[in-house]
Amino acid sequence: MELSSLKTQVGKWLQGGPEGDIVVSSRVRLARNIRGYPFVSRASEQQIGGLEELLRETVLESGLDRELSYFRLDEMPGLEVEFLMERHLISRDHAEADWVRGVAFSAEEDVSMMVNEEDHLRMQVMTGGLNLHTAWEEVDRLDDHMASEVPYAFSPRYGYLTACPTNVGTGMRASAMLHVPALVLRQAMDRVLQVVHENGLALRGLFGEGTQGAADLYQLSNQVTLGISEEEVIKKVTRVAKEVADMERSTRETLMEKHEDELQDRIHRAWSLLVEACRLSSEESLHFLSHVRLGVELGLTPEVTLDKLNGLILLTLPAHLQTMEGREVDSLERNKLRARYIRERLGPVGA
Amino acid sequence: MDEAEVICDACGEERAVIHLTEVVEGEPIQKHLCQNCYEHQENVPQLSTSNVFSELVQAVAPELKELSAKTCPECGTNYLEFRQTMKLGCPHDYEVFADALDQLLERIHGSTEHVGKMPARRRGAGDLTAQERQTRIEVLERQMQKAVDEEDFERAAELRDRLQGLKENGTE
Repeated sequence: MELSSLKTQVGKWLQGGPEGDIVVSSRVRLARNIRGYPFVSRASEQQIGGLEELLRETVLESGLDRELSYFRLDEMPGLEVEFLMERHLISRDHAEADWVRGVAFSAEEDVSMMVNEEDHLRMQVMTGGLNLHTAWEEVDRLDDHMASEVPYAFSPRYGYLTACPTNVGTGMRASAMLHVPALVLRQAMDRVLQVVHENGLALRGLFGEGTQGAADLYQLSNQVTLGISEEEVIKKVTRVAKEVADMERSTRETLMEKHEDELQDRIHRAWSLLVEACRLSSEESLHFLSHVRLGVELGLTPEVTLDKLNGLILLTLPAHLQTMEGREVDSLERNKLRARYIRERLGPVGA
Repeated sequence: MDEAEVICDACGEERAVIHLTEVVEGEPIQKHLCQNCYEHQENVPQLSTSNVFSELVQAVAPELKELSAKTCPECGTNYLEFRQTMKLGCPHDYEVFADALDQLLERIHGSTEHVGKMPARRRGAGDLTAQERQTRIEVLERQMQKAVDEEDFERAAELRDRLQGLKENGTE
């Protein structure tokens, strides 16, 4: 697979699903380590190389029923590594590490296996909409296959042993990406956080801890991995994601009842800027795309589909624009490229 | 009585600024001292912050010393080093630091025992050792009892089925 072939399309997981009006995607990730080796931070160069070879061969040649392409991150240009990170195929930590490491992923980009991240192996499955159960079943199956080939570091008492004790036990993180523009507009995120914390879950911005949700996107996920089974976590995150989605829906209704004019104005302004502007920063475009996405949901901007907007959120990120351009481009020029790209996709010709 | 009116018990002249309660033969006795008498009086506990701190350090020092001496023989990671980075060095650390880790895990997860899935059986490899299986059975039994105590019967039933599988076929 050539990375450049991905640059103008998006993975299956960005194309909608159950509760897709609010829940953009679901993801289940498992952390695993191989018995007999130290964790990556303590491993020698030779051990890291050995692990990479072992896991690469197992992923590619052990008869896994998913066809995966493998890339060595330490042998790739930085721009391509960033490109994979923007696509959520690798984590930020994996992108920024400086040792021998790789990633294998499927053409549909629903499956990704990171080799030598903080843990030896991190497997994830992503699905569109709120569909954690399907993602869990798929990653569970992949995990069983890997376990039949390589010995995992497992303790009958502590479960799957991980480099950081915050992951020990199931090694599982289940998360749902939620688009909640109405709750943000009404400044009601404190209420959401309360519900999230009461259930022992965490809420982070799109780009990780501490960030305010760019494009009003937030990731809801479990924190506890010990003393609770995978199924229970999947059920809990699903239930809370639905609860937050209901809060967002009723807030949208209130906004439409009481502030329809203002809402119309905001959404149409966002739309006009997206299709007319000559320069758009990443921050601006995410903000406007979020408002237009809300407009689609409320039937106010019928010119565009959710799929297309989900795609644009990803395709207009810095490394994507530069990959499309085939070279490194500074931020001022990127803002021009971004505006042109969005105009072409949303404007009269592209629509 | 207004605090400003309290006169030092020792000199009977200065305004008292230190108010102590001593317990003598089960009876609380109030003592009021001025700054000067307090500093010069014997048999009065000195409450400077540096004293409190050094006492605290002395109290936990043996524990700190013991913990800092704990180093994993397999990967060389020291416990204090781990607490600075929160990254363990190798799977073996979980055994070496078990006592201290249990407290930490309890704080992070509210539990110290895994109830989720177990690795699928490896091709060509044997089942769990008898000891591993026994540990696993004990863990699940404790968790089942906890679920019953919490009246979470759905969870208890699920754990019961898994226990049965583990006892009969060696898989959950």
